[in-house]
Amino acid sequence: MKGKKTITFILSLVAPVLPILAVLVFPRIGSALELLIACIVILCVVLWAVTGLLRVQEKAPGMKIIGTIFACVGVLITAIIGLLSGWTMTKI
Amino acid sequence: MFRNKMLYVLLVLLVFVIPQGVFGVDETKVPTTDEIMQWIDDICAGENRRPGEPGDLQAEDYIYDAFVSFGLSDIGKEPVEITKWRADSWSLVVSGADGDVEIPSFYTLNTGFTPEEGVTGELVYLCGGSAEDFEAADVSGKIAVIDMGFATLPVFPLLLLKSYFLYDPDKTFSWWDSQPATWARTNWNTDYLEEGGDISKSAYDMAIKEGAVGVVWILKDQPTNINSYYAPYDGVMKELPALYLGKYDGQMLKDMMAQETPSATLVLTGTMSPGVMHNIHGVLPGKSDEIILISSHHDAPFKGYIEDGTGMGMVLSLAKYFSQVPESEREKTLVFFASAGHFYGSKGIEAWLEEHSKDYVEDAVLNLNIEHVAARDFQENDEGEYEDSGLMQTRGWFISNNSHYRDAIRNALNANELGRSLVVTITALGKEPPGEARFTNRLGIPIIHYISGPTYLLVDADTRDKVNPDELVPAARTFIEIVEELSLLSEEELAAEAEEE
Repeated sequence: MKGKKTITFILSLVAPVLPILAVLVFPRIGSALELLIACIVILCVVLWAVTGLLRVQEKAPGMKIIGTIFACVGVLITAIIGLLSGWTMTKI
Repeated sequence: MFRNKMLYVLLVLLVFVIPQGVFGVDETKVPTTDEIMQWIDDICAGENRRPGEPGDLQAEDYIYDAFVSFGLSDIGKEPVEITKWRADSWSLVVSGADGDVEIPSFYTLNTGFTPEEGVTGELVYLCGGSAEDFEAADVSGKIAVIDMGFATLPVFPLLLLKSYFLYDPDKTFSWWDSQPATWARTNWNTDYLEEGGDISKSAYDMAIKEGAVGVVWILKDQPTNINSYYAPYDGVMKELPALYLGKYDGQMLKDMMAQETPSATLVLTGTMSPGVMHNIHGVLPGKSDEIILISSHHDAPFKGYIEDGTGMGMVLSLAKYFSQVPESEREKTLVFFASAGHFYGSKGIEAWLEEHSKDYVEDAVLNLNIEHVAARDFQENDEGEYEDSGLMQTRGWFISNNSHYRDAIRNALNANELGRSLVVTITALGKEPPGEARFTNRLGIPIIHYISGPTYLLVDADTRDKVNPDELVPAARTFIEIVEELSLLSEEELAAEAEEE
């Protein structure tokens, strides 16, 4: 249980960086589809992480709050990048 | 059973044979790479093709003769009178604590001449020359030193907001790519010439207003240390003498000015005399009187291989190709037009459109305007020199809002693999498209306007090495296919719809 908490917390913390990494991995406009798929995967992983973090019974409210804030930022950035890459796909 | 077989045969005909017959390019009629390159070499033979100058007059005759040899009819060579502005000598000598230093410079087109001895004054650095910069400094009786900025066009926002589609099968564009627009000066906006224009956007006019005796422009956004920037080319004669400096020479001057307050002598002498340039056109009649106007301009600041040797090469390619197609198979009348004076405020095309308002213009259903084809992309390397990036220049297709145009362009691009093509709205960069097609667009003629904007376009680096010969035939084929496909449509089908906001 402690291991899962640590993993979900770390994933939540790095959530804002993941979509940026995805853009660096797929830096070409022509790779909009790959970027969109990457964004969907990131969203799933971050949402799993943040729900997992919130479900952990052990008391660690600070960890939960910080993890949730970071995850929300990550979800927001990922959603924006995902939407833009989806929009791009209609143009290429 | 027999009926089914007939159906299969018909189906095969419909799918394979008929479209080939209708849109297929007859390869035997397409000019070869060597042929097109020879036309371009011949057109670019002169030192420059400035309006009214020998190189351009020679190119006009060459294009005229080519139209005659292709068998075009109603060939016209129509004069347009201009004032030829020629610089004879120019220099910038800076006097500082270490004595006199001459900094390499180039004249600013159509600006005022100085006496033989030049004008002398203290140098005042005004950054970008905004109204605030002028307020903070006294330039009266002095020489204003101003950084000239160029606009940049970010590809990704342009793609999302102003484009129909991008054809880039090799995935060459990154999300953060941008295209420097050396023709779009951020601080010498010539819109002030229009009534009610705001001169605060024109550092040059601010310098006149504040009593400067000259302007020294630093080309801070022009790649390399090149100073031979041939602009603005609005054809308007201006009063205040001005010179350009390359960005590294300009930085040297700024470094000197940071340590002391030097004075300088600016010399720009020359002549103005009456001249004439000519519009050239020729006609290939078709089954219909409806006209597709196929155009480019023939003048250029220097050798002009890309500006617009290749554009004219395409016009000649299409003229030759369609001249070999029997009149009974040409759906529309084709008018081929080589306009004069793009570098004289586009006075050539304006005069021609007015002159032919009752014939060609009235019957025109489409203008295919072609500028800067087969242009290699060159970037500044670590040594400060131009170097081939290995890519082609971004191609802009500014088109009126019509789904048939988009389909025809998409088909032709796919067939000929002309990558790095961004198909955009005519208002993608402002109220009007760039280049000559804005004039036909103003008259309500639907346009397909092909243009690219390499940074060497307006300087003396626009030489033969900038042309990719391997692209000439695919490009010609692309334009031929577009004309063939759209020729089959009626005037109503070719009409442009309003652009979506």
